[in-house]
Amino acid sequence: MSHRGRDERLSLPLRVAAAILGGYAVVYAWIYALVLILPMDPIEATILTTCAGFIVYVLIALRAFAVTSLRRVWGEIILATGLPVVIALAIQS
Amino acid sequence: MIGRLRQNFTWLHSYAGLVFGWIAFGVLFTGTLAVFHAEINLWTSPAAAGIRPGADRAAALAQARAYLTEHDSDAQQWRIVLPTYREPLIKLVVTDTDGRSATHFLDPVSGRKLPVNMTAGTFLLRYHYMMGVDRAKNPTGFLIIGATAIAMLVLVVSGVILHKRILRDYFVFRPRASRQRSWLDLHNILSVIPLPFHVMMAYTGLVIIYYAYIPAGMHARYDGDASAFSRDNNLSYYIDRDTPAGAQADTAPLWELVNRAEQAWGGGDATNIYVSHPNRADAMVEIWRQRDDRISNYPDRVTFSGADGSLIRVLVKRSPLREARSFLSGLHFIEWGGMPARWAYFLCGLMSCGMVAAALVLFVEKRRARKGGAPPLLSVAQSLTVAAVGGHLVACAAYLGCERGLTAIPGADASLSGSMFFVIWLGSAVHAFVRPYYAAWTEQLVAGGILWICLPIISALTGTGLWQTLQDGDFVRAGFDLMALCGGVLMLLIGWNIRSGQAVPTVA
Repeated sequence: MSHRGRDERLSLPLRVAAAILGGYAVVYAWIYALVLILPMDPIEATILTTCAGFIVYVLIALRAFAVTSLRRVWGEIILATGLPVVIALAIQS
Repeated sequence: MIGRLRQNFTWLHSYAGLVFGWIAFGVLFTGTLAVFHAEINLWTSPAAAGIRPGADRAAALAQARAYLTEHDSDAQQWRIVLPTYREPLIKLVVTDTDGRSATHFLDPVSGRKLPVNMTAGTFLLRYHYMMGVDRAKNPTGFLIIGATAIAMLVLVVSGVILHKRILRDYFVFRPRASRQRSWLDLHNILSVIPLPFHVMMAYTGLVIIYYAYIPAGMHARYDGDASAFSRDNNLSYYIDRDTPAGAQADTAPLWELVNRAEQAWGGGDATNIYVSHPNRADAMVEIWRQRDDRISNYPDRVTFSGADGSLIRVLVKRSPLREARSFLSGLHFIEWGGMPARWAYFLCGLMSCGMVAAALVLFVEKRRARKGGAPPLLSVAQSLTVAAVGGHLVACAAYLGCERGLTAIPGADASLSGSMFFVIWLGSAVHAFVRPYYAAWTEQLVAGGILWICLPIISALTGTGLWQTLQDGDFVRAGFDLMALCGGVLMLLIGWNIRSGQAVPTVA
């Protein structure tokens, strides 16, 4: 750990942020969009998406540490949040 | 590439484990105790010692209604909980027109009000899922615990990936190997053997109030209105604490409604009876089935109009996803399965606590042993570790002793014991920062051990000593005393071992 350069030192906090904040953003946005899209009772849709969302959150947090390229980690998170945000905005406008 | 992944996951597992382990130990320990929340309530209530299960339910309901009519005739809502095998008292929760509620307990035979408050189990539960802070007022504690549950799942997966020989090391424990090796073995055993339990409890804990952790669905479809969402979620349309009451009109005889409800859901005792607007023209009576004979935590319910007793709703089957969620919540709550299931959960819960404690100790030992000197902030990590583990062992015993001791003092403020918990924990934290690492461990474990051993002594001084409860066959109270005694002795032994230089407990 002591051999790490400056870039490497910034890498851990960015991974932690990706896991905690990024993971929450992706899951929140997808639940929001899916609850609007799914042709179900809103409570049923919320149960399904939220309870699946907990597992997705865990997987994103792990992926934030598993993928070597930090740029890729954040790229994925921005895309995975942006898509449902666009969908939700399109439905609600 | 694989080396890099390993390095990242090692860091993740160590540091996420450290930070969330500090939070998790208290949560897991109070949760483990709260498996027996009803039994702990009975132990803290010596005034209810003479009350045995098996009272006539019809007579109990008549006693409850007589009490409520006399004392709370203009309440907004009555909730009557009939005596059960596990909780043999009548419990009454009265909500007044200002929304304040008060709880009373009655002797099911004589109808006499009992001087008990039965709050200890609830206190432990509230600490277990929201760190003792009401989530309606401040959701911080509740959300921290939600994050801890997610972290626990992350830690389980990263731990399994990091564990090279998960099958081979399954039963390996080397108590006489190096100090680090022993703690690692202990952590592995306690993690791997009850692995399904750890995963199940962390996940089902999130499912119970799923919509408050990630409220996206609530924001998308309910405009963020939590009470409207929760009302639709639970289909609780007839438990009304908000609308004003109508004109006077006697509510139908309740026992008759109970019988009709039990027929409607086809067997199984009713336990909860909600009467909204009692003795008013718009009264609603909703009766809930017992929940201790099935896993799903959503009991069948039947609703009647209170004024004429006409049937309004029979709710025994709901949509599959609601049922699935209730099943998962029920796995966490374990109202089902009786004493064998509760003991199994209790033992697995203790293993969860041990897993976290061993992990925290391992983190510290590993870094203390490093050749190049200990990393910065290690002393802070050491103190927080002692405070997280030792502090909760001490504070829980102090809380329970205080709760029970106060029953012997007439007019004592019962909320004192709750403050006691937090003050004692804070005291332990200060102690952990002031004292050297091993001394802090020894002293807190010895203090915890002595306090837990004191609990059966307090029982004896306040009316239900172990000899007497064993003779009377009161195994709930005797069981509590015996477990407190065992736990206390165990803590003394571990504390003593640390003092004599063998940091590994002799039990595993």
